[in-house]
Formats: sequence, structure tokens, C-alpha cells
Amino acid sequence: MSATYTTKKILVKRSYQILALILIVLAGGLLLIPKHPKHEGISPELFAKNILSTERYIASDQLADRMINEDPVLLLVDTRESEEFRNFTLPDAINIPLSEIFSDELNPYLNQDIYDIILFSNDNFTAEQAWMLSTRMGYQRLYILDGGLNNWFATIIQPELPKETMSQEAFELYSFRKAAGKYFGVANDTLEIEVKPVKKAPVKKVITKPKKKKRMPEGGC
Amino acid sequence: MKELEKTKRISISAVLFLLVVVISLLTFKQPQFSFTNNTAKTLEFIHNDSYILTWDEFEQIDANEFLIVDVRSNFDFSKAQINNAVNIPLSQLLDKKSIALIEKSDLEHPAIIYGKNPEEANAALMLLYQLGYENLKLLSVETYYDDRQFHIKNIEIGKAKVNYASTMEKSKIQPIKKIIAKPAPTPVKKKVVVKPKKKKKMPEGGC
Repeated sequence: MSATYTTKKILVKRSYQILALILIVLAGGLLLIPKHPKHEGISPELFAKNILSTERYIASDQLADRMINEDPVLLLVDTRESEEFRNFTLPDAINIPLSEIFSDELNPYLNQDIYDIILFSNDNFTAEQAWMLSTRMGYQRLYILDGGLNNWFATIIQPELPKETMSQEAFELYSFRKAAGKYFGVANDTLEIEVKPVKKAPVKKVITKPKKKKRMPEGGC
Repeated sequence: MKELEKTKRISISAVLFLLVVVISLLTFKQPQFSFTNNTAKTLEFIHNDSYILTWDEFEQIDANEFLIVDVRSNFDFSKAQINNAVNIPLSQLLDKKSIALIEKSDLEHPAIIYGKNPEEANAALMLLYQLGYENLKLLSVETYYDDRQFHIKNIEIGKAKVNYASTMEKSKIQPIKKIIAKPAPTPVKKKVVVKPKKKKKMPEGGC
């Protein structure tokens, strides 16, 4: 082995070492990159897009229709406090108060992909807050009963009679709402009053027979 | 020769490695927004009602000190608005300009948010709160422009308009059926047909 060959070998070895050193330094530099802030749920941009969309609302008529047809994927969720829930709720609804939407016991109802969940409260407000927090977490298939129970009562339970000048559709909608109301336990609200027949004083019939005229005796002389 | 080949391979892989590092550094971009408040904290914030401001309360405060944010559309805002309000439509909430405005007010006074109804304001409030701006108030009003006038109506959030249970109870009343009582049969009086007495026939015949 010549001397030049050995120096060459050493040089090559050293260059390896330098290369390795550079790579190690660069890899270490990756650690210095500011941490990507991680947060639960979806990104703010997607969240902003979701809250702008009105697809989350379901009209009371639409819901009534689905309930009457016994839609198997429908799950009603009452977001009010349990006291109000006990007082009145929609048929087959379950109670998940807003404060408990992330509790271990009730959260699985919201965090699923089997049912169409209809959230409702007295108005839109509480249901909407529950919807927003659940949407932020990325839960799917969540809807809000538009107008809440107030609107439910104004449309299904106590629908307003359309004016005579209104369109045919308005009357059809009204009759649908009346029929739906009956399904949800509203009896006919037009009370029928007992009618007593007016007694007529029996009129005495007087049959007058025409008097027979005196027959003149026939025959001549 | 063998040694040289080895060096070549190593230098190629080193260059590739460098390229990957450089490209990843160049394309690294911090997301513009990120949620800093988690849902549990947000839930706590919205659960007590201290962030809700009624119209009466609003009228008593000095509105000049606060940033009043109108989250309705540009069109609605241009027709009428609450005095001193700034228009930040819900769709433009994540613009740099809007965020800068909120950020400025966040340190000093709460920003008061209103929209065409409390729900719209709530949407903006919840987005901003989760982004980390905690100094927020929600004006619980409904606003609409009608008859060349700007109407502001206070809304009681979560209030039941009717007593549901009693309304249902009332509507469950069975209707009274129409009962038409049949008139009692009146005894039929026997008709007394008075037969006219036959008059004695005068004997016929002549004389």
C-alpha cells in the first residue's frame, strides 16, 4: 500500500464523517421548527363554513312527516334541562342537556354515524349551541329542528288557518298539519256543541170534509 | 474503482436527503387559524348566561366604549344599524382585517355581537371564542328592517312561548259529539172521522 492511497482513504473517511455530521445537524434542526398547534376537532375554516350553511335546519313539517312515517334512522334529542324534558317533550325523544353533551354516558349518542339526529330546544338557541360544539368535534348527521318547540306548537299542534286569499298550497299544508296534529295527540279542536231540536208544537190537523150538498130529490113528477 | 462507486452512491443519497429537507422547510406553512379554546371550556363559557346582554342592559351602558359588531350581511347593514356598529359579516369573520379588529378590542373592552337574531350572533361568538377571544358579549335582540324603520326587539333566549304540557292536555279533550235528541213520540190521536149522517133519502119517484 502506498502512502498516497492511505491518505486518500482517510480523506474519503473524513468526508463521510462531515456528511454524516451535516445530516445530523439538519435533522436536529427539524426539532426547532415551531410546533404545529394541535387542537381537537375540525379546523376553524371548516367550522366557519359549516356555520354559514343552513343545511342543518329541518322544518317542523318535514320532521312530522318523517316521524309519522316512522323513519328508522331518526333520533330526536332534547337539549333542554331535564326538568323541562320531564314536563313535555316530543315522542320518543331522549334528553341530552347542553351541559352534558360531552359526558361519557351521553356523548356516544351524538358521536355516531347511524342515526339522523335532530336536536331541539324551546327555540333554536340551545340546540344550535349543542350543534356547534358537536360539529366542532367533527360529529356527523346532526340537524336542528328549525324554530324549536315554539315553532312545533305554532305549526303542528296549533296551526293557523290560512286566509281565504292564500294559495292552494297553504291550504294543503294546513290540512297536512291538522292531520299531523291528530297523530301527535291533538283531538279535534273545533268543539261540537250539543244541539237540542226545537220542539214544535204539534199542529192539530183539522180535517174538514166538504159538506155534501143536499141532493135535490131527483125525479120529476 | 469499488471505493469510488461507493462514494458516488453516498453522495447521491446525501443530495437527495438535503433536497427533501430543503423542500419540506420551504413548504412548511403554519395554519392561519387554530382553535385555542377546547370544547369543554367553550361549553363552560356558554353555560352560564353572563355573556348575554339584553337590550335594556345595552341601552344603559356607554356604547362608545365598546366594539359593537354587526354580523349581518353587508346589504342589511347598509340599510340600518345600531349606532357605532362595525360590520363584520359572518362569512368574513376569518378575514385578517376582521380578526385584527376583534383582537384590538379583546384586550380592553368586550366586543358586543349582534345579528338578525341571537342565533346568528351566537354562531360568530362561538367561532371567536374557540379561536381564543374571550372578551365577548352577545346582544339578545332580533333586528329587522321594515316599513323604513329599523326595529330592534329584545328576545328572551330559550323561552317557551306556550306552556307545552298544558297546551297538549287541553288539546287532548275529546270533542263533544253532536247529540241530537230525538223528540219523544207524541201519542197519535185517533182520528175521529165523523161520518156524515146519511140523510134520509127522499123517496123517489113521482106522484
